[in-house]
Amino acid sequence: MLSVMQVFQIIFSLIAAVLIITFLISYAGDYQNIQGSASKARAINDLLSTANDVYLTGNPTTFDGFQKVDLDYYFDTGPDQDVINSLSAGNYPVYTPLLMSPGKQMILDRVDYDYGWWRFSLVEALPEMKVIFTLEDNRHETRQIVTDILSFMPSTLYHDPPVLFGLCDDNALLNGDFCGSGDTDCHRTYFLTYMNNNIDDTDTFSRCTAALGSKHRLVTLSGYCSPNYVDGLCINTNSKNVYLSGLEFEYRDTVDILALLIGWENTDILDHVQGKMLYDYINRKFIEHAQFASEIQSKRIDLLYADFPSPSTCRTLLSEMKNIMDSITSATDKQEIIKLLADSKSKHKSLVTNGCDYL
Amino acid sequence: MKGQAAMMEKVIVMFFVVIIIVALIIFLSGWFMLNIRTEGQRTTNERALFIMKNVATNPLFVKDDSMFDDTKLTAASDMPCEAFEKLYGENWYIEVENKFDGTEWKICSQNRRNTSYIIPVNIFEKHTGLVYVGNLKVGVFI
Amino acid sequence: MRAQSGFVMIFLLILILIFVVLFLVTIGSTMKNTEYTQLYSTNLLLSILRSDTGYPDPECKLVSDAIYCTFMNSEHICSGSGLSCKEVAEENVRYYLDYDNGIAKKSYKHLIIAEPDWTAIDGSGQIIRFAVGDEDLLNPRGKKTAVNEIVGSGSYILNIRLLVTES
Repeated sequence: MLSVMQVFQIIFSLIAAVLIITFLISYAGDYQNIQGSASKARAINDLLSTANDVYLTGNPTTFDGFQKVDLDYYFDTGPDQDVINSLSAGNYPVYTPLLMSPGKQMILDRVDYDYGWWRFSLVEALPEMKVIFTLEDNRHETRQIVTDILSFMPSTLYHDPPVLFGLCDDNALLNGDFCGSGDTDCHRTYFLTYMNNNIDDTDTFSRCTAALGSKHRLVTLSGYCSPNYVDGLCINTNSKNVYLSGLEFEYRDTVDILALLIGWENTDILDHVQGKMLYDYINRKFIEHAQFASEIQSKRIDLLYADFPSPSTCRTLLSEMKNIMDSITSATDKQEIIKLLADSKSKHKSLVTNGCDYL
Repeated sequence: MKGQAAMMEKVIVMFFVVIIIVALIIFLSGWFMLNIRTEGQRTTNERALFIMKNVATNPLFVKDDSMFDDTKLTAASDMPCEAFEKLYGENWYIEVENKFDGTEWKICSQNRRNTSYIIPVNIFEKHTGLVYVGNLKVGVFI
Repeated sequence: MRAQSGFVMIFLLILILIFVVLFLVTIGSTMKNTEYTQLYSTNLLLSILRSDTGYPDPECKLVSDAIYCTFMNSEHICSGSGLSCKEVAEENVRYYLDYDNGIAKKSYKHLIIAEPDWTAIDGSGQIIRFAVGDEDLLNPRGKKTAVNEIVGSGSYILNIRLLVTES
């Protein structure tokens, strides 16, 4: 028979044990959440740090900081701020131009537009993917579009994850070793060599109806793309428009295609198509950077005039360059800015050749 | 009496167990806060170093890596700070000083608490073609 | 007795926790930024070598030219200065490494030495040596940062090295 004291001891011990265990479990749960958020924050910061390094050095790098972390983040861009938004770990501002598609493992590489007096660079961050081309419109000009796209994609022969390329004709995907690389799947270099040596205007391709996996991204080059074209990315080679997820985009340079290809049809928590987000974002960034650089260069030219007598070849060239810079600053259309930048590149070459400026 | 003493003993032991658990929780929380503070400082330092390396290699400011062009610096320092902030973010500044004649160029400079780094650089004087030594200071406001 | 020993055990546990926290705090405060030191050292050497000496003589125009001329043409006098290449090089390097007037940071000690990959001898048959700064850095012991620049070509390569350590 238990005494009153013993009963009291048992009840007291039980109550104390339950209180302590409840408190510990509650704290452990909070701590685990905090630690989980901290891990995500660290992974995102590491990604941005790696992107900055690649932006500075131009050396391709593999990033696998998300191996043990949930991929609950997305790229949120807007005129006020461009951020990586994580549902559980907050917002992280992005300052270097970045085209990103989330993945457990990503390859980061830099893409440059060099105009001599200025350079626009961006970093692309890609997960494992296989880009499949269908050349419904097979001409030299359309194959050149493919070559241009490939030149902006990373070479993953010695890096992970693999970014591979393939061809589709009707309901068949050509095998991984069709491009003559042996056991290796079609990395960029092998695919380019295969295309240059084995495909000419006499080859015909039908619309791709092959079963594609989640890592495949279908790019069709055709004269008949329309907003209703639902299979991947379709580049209308006649009108120079591009279609993705029922949306229509202008195709002015390869970066337009790159943004859509990387963002793709994925949607974020607000149902924004990531391809469209990246397309709008990178075009805004390009115009902002180009106009900023042009304004500085225009002010610099005002200082350079003093070094050369009037009239002189250098004065004339500098004046022409300044006109181009001022036109870029006031332009609103990307197509116009691209053309003016091309003019500025050749004008800069003339300035260097005539000893008015350096390379 | 013996029963009461046993009961008190149990209460006291429970009290100390709770103290240990609370101490552990405080220690873990403190360690976590320390981590966050260190991480925050590390992020600030990394940002300052990134801006420094970016500016020292950007053709908009330099003739060659870490060799600034005085005409480019003069043109850039004439731009409003907001123009830089739109592209490169807020809360940072750069200052370049030519050690030879003391000429300074400042972008987004303010009198605020900051973490900063200074490295030696060259300054190319476009008019004469001479190269001088100077300092580049990059700071991130805290 | 049992309660007392338990109390002592708990007290010890709390002490251990306090010491671990203190240890972590001190670890945090002693972490140095080696990336910055590397960047500082690389830029210091590069900036000094690429700067003009102020003399238009092509053999002595830049500091790197003057240092190279020290080994290649030890008897040469830099026109407009009345000084030898070595004197011009040392004058400039010493100026830039000066804590008050130059660009070197007081929190570091510096040494710039030049090592040719051939045997350079001056007019009196002495081996030419170029070293400016704190020669204690030549001691193999101690943690230091070293950066190099190569000047010259063909058979006459000069390795100019900067050694930096914290004061």
